[in-house]
Amino acid sequence: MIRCDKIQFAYPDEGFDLRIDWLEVRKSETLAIIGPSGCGKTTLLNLISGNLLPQAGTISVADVEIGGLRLEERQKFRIQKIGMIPQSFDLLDYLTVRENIMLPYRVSGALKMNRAVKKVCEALAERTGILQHLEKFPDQLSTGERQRVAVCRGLVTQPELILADEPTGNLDPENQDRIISLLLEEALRIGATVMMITHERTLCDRFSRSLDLLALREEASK
Amino acid sequence: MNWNGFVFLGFRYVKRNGAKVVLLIAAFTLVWLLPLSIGLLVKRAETELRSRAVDTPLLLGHAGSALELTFNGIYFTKEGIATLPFRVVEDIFDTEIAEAIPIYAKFSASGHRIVGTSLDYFKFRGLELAEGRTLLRLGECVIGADVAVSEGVGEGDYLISSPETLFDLAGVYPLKMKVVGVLTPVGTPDDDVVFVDPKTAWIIEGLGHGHVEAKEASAEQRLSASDDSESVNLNAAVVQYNEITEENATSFHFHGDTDDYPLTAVIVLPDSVKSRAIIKGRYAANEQLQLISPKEEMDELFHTVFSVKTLIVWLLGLVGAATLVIGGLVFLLSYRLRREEFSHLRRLGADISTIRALIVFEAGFVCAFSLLLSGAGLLLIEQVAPALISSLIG
Repeated sequence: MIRCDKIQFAYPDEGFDLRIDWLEVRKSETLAIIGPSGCGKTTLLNLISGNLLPQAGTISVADVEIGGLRLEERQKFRIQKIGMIPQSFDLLDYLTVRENIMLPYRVSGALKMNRAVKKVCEALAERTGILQHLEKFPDQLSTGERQRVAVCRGLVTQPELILADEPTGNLDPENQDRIISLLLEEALRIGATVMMITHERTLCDRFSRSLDLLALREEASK
Repeated sequence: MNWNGFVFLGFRYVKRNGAKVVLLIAAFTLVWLLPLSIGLLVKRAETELRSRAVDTPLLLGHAGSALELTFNGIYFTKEGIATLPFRVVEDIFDTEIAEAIPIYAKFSASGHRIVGTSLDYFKFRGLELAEGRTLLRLGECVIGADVAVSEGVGEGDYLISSPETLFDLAGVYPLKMKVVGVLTPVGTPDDDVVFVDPKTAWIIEGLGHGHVEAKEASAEQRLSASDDSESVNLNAAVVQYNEITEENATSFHFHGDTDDYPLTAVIVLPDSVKSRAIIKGRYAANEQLQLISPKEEMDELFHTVFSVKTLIVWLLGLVGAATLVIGGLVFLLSYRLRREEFSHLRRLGADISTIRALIVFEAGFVCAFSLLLSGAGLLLIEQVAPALISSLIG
């Protein structure tokens, strides 16, 4: 599903240099990425999603080389193939929960809104326990409920790849567990590959594999 | 550009931030509307007042404020001005170089000015009857179109003149006047006037009256108990008529010389430029009377009005500019607060032109909506301008 081959990405001014010789993630695999702050976990997800382009090396997602796509093509590819779940939820406070979940269909010309999408939205909301909140605004929800909305939005396009950037970082252990379960169950249901950043090593057991990014970088620098 | 997404997100944002947007729209609307409406009102006032003044060659009145005389004689708005005797009308006719139209605008009926004038006035102003006939007898009135509408009266109905002061027992008694004609609307102060003969106006004032025949008066209505004398003196118990009918019309009479009876103004119509100069010369040295050119008075008035208007518009312009700068600052801060949101939308697949459109949507919406409201406000002001102007000059 994902192949990173001798990639390099640096912020010279900040002394940041991410190098990975080889990373492969198989289809439907669930991967937990761990590592200390600043080691490049979020940068790696941004490189895989095409938000950033590597300065060297190639990244392929679903057999498509991301760097070979033009900006608009890359954006279209991302919205069709990848579901992103950010740590900060990124919910728009002026939209209802339902509208936030279906936001990708509103803003992207690459996706078409139809009745089936609305059913998917409601089904996701039901499974994540926020069905009764669909007409509420984000500021009327608890932190855990907002994170569930962000999960639903990441999944509403039924993506082949789910990139989650510490989606449980702001949650208590009970909610952390609930969100991880939801994410993995949904990924299993639609056969999606999952890459999730986490600081909680205890959560790694829930994934089919875990990846220590710092170790991977050290390996590359040898 | 994704128009659906742009419109959806734009309006959702505006709806959710309604209070802020409404405040901005209100502020911006005032910025556009105030200077424009002042300009519009002054322009309309100038057009309405000046055109009527231009159509009135000369106006004769008692010495004093020329502007008050103009407003009384042309717009019927100043009722408390000094009067001149009716004989000046005859004097002007006697010159044989000008005609004169008497104006006695002092009383009112249900808030509408009662103007005592001659039939020449209708011809002079080009007033035509929509229904009924013109004035023939005492106690009759012809009403303007607005009076007919606001009072719901027409030919054959009655209007009662308003007493001058409610608690003055010796003051003017109300007179029940019969409406014999309704004028077609002309969009001038004439629409809001109750026209009567000057004699009817004098009866309203109490200078003329009608009552039972003195010889038929009862003993209680006489000052002296004896009725042997040729002359009979009546006391206040005598019944005075408050309506002039066919039966009692002959009993109405005036005490004294009607040539001394009051008018508030006389419209003077010289038959040539030379006649105008002669007439003006004749009254130039008169200390009791003044003969003015309403156009010149209006020109002078509007010269002052325009100076004040320019000053006000400049001040409003400065306040408006400050408001726009503050509004711009609000939009800028709003953009800074939403920067994360825009980059997030970009990650969710929004193209760059949609993002740019969303950035300016709020400012565009506020500007467009405030301009729309200002336009509607201007239309409304234009509709009520005549009433507003007449209330301002009243």
